Amino acid sequence: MARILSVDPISRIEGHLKIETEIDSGTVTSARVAGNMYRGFERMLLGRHPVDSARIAQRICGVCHEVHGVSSVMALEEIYRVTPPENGVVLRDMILGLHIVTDHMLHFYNLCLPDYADLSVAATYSGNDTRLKDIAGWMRGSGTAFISGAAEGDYIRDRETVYRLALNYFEALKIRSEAASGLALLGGKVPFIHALLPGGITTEITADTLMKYYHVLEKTADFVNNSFLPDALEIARRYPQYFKIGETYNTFYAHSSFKNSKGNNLFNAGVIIGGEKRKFDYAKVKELLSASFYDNSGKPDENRKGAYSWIKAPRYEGYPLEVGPVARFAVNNDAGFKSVLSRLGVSSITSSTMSRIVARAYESVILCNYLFERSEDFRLDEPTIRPVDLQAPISGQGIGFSVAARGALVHHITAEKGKVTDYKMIVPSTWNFGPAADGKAGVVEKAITGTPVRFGGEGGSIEVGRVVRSFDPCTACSVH
Amino acid sequence: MISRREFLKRCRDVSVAAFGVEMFGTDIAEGFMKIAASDRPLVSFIQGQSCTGCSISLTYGNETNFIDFIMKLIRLQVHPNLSFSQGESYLKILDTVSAKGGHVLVVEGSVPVKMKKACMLGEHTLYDELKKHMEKAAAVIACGSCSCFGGIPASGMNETGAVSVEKYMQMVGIKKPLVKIPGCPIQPDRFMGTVAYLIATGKLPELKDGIPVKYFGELIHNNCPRFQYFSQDIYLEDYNTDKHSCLLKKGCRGTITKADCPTRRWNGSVNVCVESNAPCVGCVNEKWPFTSDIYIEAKNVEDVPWSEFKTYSEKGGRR
Repeated sequence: MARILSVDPISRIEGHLKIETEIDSGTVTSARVAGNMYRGFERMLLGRHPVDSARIAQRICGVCHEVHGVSSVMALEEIYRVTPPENGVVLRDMILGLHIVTDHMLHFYNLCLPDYADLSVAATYSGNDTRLKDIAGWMRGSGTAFISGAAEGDYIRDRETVYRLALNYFEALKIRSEAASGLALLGGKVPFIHALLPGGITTEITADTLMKYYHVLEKTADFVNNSFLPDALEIARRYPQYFKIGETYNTFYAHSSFKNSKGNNLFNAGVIIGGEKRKFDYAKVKELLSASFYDNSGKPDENRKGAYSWIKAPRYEGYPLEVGPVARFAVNNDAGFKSVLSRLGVSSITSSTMSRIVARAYESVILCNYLFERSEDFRLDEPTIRPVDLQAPISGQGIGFSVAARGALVHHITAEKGKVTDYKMIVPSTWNFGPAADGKAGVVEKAITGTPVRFGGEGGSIEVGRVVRSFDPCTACSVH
Repeated sequence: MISRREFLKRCRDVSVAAFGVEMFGTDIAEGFMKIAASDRPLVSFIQGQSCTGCSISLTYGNETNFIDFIMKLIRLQVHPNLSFSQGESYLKILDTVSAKGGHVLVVEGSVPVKMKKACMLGEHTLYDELKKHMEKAAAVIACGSCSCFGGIPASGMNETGAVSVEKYMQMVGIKKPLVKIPGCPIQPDRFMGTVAYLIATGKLPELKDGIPVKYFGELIHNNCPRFQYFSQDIYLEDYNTDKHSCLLKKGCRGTITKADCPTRRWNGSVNVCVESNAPCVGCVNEKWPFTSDIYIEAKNVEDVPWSEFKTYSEKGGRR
């Protein structure tokens, strides 16, 4: 007898997301994923000067801050027909790369880790480490409820492991805060740098700025190499079954990103369908609306019949595609990632809950290595920006194919005489979290289906929570 | 009565957490003497039409970090991005705190009052649910410009009918002490410092239109590191070559926006927008994101179009 089990709202993600599952004989047989918050960025920008989108579209999301700003500015540069000087591109890479590393850290330690480790075990600590004593004292005495009420489940509870993970839960917050200061040095402040304009970066970059950035990067890389990757591998070794849970269609999509001085990209563009790599063709992307709260013209309609989500359903020649770090590695056919997986007994790059978690940690390692090299491409005393008239009555179309922690990102701007006439964003979490359309379940819906459910209880299934969080949901982005 | 030694220890514990302690001075120091761990306020966060940028910004502190805030200053009950619980258990914790009352409710994001399903809290609309979490709260904090004024979700055609928390409270008839901390996103000290003041003194800081005067009393322009260039009529013409000039003619809204950004700075005090050679966009301004162009290309100072600026100039630069 099938039963319905929901997790609503799902916590430790960005935004408002509801998961509804049908469970039969201990296995999820179908799932619905609903994005439950709408603001309407594409429509609120209509009629504004296109350059305003550099600041407004930038604010679609404050977790993956900076990614929408960059994509929007790349689209504006096409309309302005301006190419930023090399330094401007280098700075954008330095900002995006470091930001993505910190975003991955937030995901692993603060959003996802409580799915696997029962951090409340840290309250038992009675040794001499002052940081752990503080954590234990706080957990025992404060009545802080946000760490209570975790769903039933098979958590890591051995003390030594939990002590280490609990320390790193807080250490990750500290390192992120320092990394944020590195981003602010280049861009003014974060979240939402204002030094990012069409044509490049406005900031005056001195040797001192670069040294400080380098210092922050070293600290971040140290944590990534010595804590983040080992901790992620530890989780993977403890939960090998999750390499078989949370599988999508194994269709992937990525943009090229993070160029180096030799002109090669750290990540290549492409689409994988049926195990075969194809060239990405933007014209083949369609957003379907049959299960989304919009009328056929794209106007919001909260009472639309048959709709259950504010997220649209993007399809590539009819296929839902998974985006994110695993997709980037799959499109790259990445030898490094494959060797990490093989040490865990996994023979190929396939979609799964645990491959996504390991991919983020490994990607952080290679991004840090990349950033050390990339920052050396910066040339002091050469321009960082080719300024344009920011009030010019520009007309035309521009598309910014960019990258976010969660996958491939597109901002597509159409302007007429200095006003936005159409603004389209195709956002990573839209691909992953979009609803069913044309009889095909969305990517995450597909991933949840088949999940074995041993635990339930008031909070709903932790197994389903693990699958969903492995995608690092960003609902604000997905709906925008 | 606590011993002097105990007092000093407690000051040490909380001084790192008493963000911008110099702003409020003795009020805070005395207040902290009286707080036991069990008296620390229960705090719940609810997100409306938000981007989570304000919560993320909270973790990018200046004077200290978010960790001290949650470990030493408050008892964090519910936070959508941090709570270990999920689904029904999550909502139950939120409900329990709100039913007991005396908590501080922090609202991030605006509330859609026209298209109510544009923001849900579990099975129900935020519009229907938010009220009950406010009814017994000791105070409500509007965290960020969306929550304070409607912000970006309320801009343009505002199809969802996004409103500020204050407007929502008026609509549903809730009368509670409300403190607004604007910013897109908030600067973390201003939020945590205000909460520290509330806790230490048990009273609201000096407010104007609900906004703490200590943090938002003075025009950004008046403390701007580039004020000298303004005085000497040295204006930025070219973003690439002019790295030490006033940004007014490019649309810098420091002359019409009140906040302590230039002195407080951001992200460990390493920088502030204007110093990155980018105009202030006025993200704490109640009109943010404005209806006019964010950036301008004014030939002369007289061409700067905003009415507030004209008033400012006519008064000879006085507020």
